[in-house]
Amino acid sequence: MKLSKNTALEILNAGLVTGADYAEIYYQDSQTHTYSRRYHKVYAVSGERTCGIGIRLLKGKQSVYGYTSDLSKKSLVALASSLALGFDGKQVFTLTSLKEKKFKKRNPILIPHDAWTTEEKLSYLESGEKVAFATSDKIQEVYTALFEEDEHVEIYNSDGIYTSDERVRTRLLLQAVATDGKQFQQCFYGPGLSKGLELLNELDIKALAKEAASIAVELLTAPDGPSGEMPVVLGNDFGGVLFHEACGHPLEGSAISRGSSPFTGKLGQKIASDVVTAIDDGTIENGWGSEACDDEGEAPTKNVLIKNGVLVNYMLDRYTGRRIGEGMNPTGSCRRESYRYLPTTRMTNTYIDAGTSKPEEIIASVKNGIYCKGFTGGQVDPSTDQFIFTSDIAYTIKDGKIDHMIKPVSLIGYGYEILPKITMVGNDLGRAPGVCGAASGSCFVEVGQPTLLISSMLVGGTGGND
Amino acid sequence: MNLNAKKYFEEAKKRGLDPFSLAFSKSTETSVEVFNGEVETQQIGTTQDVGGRALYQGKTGSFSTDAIDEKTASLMADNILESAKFGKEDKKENFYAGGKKYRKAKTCFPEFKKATLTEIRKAALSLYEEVRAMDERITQVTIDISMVEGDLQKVNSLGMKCSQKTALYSGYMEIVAEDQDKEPRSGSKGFYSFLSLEELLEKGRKAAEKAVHSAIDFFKSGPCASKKYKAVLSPAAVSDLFTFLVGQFNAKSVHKHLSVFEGKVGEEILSKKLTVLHTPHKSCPSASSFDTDGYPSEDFTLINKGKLMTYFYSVETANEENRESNGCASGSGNGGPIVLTLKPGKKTQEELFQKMKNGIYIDSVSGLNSGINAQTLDFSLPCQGYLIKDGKIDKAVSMIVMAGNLKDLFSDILDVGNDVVYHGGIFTPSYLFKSLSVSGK
Repeated sequence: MKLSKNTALEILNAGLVTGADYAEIYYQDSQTHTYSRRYHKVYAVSGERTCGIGIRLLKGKQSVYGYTSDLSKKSLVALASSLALGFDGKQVFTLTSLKEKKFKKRNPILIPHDAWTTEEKLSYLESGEKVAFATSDKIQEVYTALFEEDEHVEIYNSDGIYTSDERVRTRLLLQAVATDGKQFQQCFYGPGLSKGLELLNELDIKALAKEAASIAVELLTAPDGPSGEMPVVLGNDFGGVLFHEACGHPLEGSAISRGSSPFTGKLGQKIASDVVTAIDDGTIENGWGSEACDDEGEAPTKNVLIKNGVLVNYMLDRYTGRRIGEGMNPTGSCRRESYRYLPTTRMTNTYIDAGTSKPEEIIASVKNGIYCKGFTGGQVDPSTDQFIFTSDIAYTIKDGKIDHMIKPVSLIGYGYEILPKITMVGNDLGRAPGVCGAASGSCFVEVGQPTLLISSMLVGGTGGND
Repeated sequence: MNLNAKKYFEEAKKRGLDPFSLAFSKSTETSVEVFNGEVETQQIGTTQDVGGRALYQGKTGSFSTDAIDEKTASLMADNILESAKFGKEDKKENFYAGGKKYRKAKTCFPEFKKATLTEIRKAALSLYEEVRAMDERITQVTIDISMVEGDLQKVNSLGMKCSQKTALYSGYMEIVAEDQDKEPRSGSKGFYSFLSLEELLEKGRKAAEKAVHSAIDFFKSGPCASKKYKAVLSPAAVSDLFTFLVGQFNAKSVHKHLSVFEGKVGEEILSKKLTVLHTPHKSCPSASSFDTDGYPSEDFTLINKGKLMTYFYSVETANEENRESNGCASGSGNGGPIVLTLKPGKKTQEELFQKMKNGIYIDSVSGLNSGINAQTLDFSLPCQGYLIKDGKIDKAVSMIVMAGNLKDLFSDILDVGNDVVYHGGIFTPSYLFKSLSVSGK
């Protein structure tokens, strides 16, 4: 441990002097490396170290948070003392000892990031770049990058526990841009897991590059997408960004505790169609959003949020749980981008569980609609639950068959309205990584789902409908 | 500032890193968030960061960290050396050697009045009370107030040296209102002050009026008919869209044949009604005296009455054309603006409505992180606003999607307003556009 137990005790007790009922230290030391190629050559090789401490105090339903990159004992005790001034009261208890809390390691690492040389990593990226350029003379640009993170965190709190976690993540980024001289189109892939460099061995970068380049070229001649209300088939894996945006965020404790979510107070009620079971699972081995413990030292859980359409649970952290009321225990969902962010409830690996329909049966059931296979991301207004997400690889469906590719379209709606409209769920569950930006910064999350049918939703294609 | 820069340069020199460029920043933040009258969070933060970039045998490497102690200089030099061995091909000329004068950007005023955490807490609570009292249908109010002080220094081994201080208050509020049907509608606004908490509160009150309208005006609103409309876009909506167009003016994109505006300098590329100025010193949170190269930021005209005048250049991209930088480096040799001003016209927003006669007014757009493609310039974004009938606001519309292509949109401007607002690094008025495709019902 980087912080001595005695120092941690002194800091925690300095924070407790005005009556805080909970004090916590979060220590982070993260090293990231990025290797990238662009414009046919090495674009950047860079490194960054983020190291600092965040101190959180809770008193009832109020929180005080401070952070610093000055790790001297004097500075940290002074910060805790300053934070304590945020409350007005007398010390209710003194912490005298800390005991280690151990968690199951969920993300075995087979090949650490230092096992390959920089040259080998750049050569790996170049192999994908070459294939992408060779796919078509319409490919104008190929961007490839390898992102590595090696993070060490320590958590100490006034429950008398301390713990640590080692978090290793690897992600490949690949983007192909095509042009016909009049317009540009692009396709992006970004597979990543809580793994070491074994991820790169498991991926076929050449196949990914070829596919990305082919799609970018195909998009050049794709017509604009339609707009208006229509049935939409969402492809598996990153299609789960719909649930993430439209339903995941409103099921986070931060939205629930404020009463701003349409799902507040609806535990036990039917909020989705029978075919929908949704889960936030921080226990998935090597999942992009998996960690041995969350950022307040709680074990991750396989948290069933919706079971057969019925709301079963929320995602909670210690603070949002106490704001909602008794019995609302943390679900191992407390996360933050770095020590500079006050932590709050965030998703980990969130997905709609597999159903029984075959993907081809789902497409065959649609007379006129669209099939969205690839997605770039999305966002939600947590106060109204209105969401948008964009499909960058999409096709029209005509008489139950995929007809032709269309240019990217946006899908818009309200989460609480969409859930009951999911009428078919496929048996091809897939998951994909993403970076989710919200109150506590950018967190690594997985989204996922099988192919599924939404009977009707608003599509905003650039082609209009007149 | 308490960084021993000399040690960093010594460690770099020992490893043959030359030129070596160093950036050091320090910032403190004190903030309070109030939700529905309760102080939810109070926050104090102090951070410092140091970043270095250097050339080694014709290649560059970089490293940055906030863990600053006696070992950092050596650690940084080692890391830069390691990354430079296989890094980006580069040359000494791409490091700015200094020599030009810096014009001060207005980001720190001697009159700036600091406040304590207690004062900020009281201010946030009092603003909450005022906002809550504005309309009985308001159900939720979130007020976030921050005081931020920053200090940035850049120096390199060729003689470049510059610094900038920032001190400001910034606020953000979000309001949710519900009608008798319990249908929630939200509105949000940001505001800032370089002077005092009192001025911030004054601006907050004005922002609140707009945020409340953004919420309550849309009760019982719904989609309008799907078709192409003449459209007035609010300053915030114009800024949100234009932000995604600026990457096309990056000289690096042009050099790599990735810009639709390649080879178009001197040509009319967009509407004659559009004039775009680079105004990096204009007082606003994103103003700066210099770019990421440490090169002095410059005033210039990017687009004059629709005609492209230049691109955004860094030292590197300027060298590729054997010309001088215009102070628009934004990291990794790419270029981008610091602050843009879209030149206003003479009409008020109401006069734009009258000129449009019948059409749609787009008040706000969302979905910007996925609904616009900065490369293809295609957009498809949820938005809300008002139908305009006979030159006047007729009714509010929501759950609609506006779609099109940014180049096409800004090629067909009918008129420009005089209601300039700062939003997201751009000062812009409202614009009247000839045609906007809207999907609704």
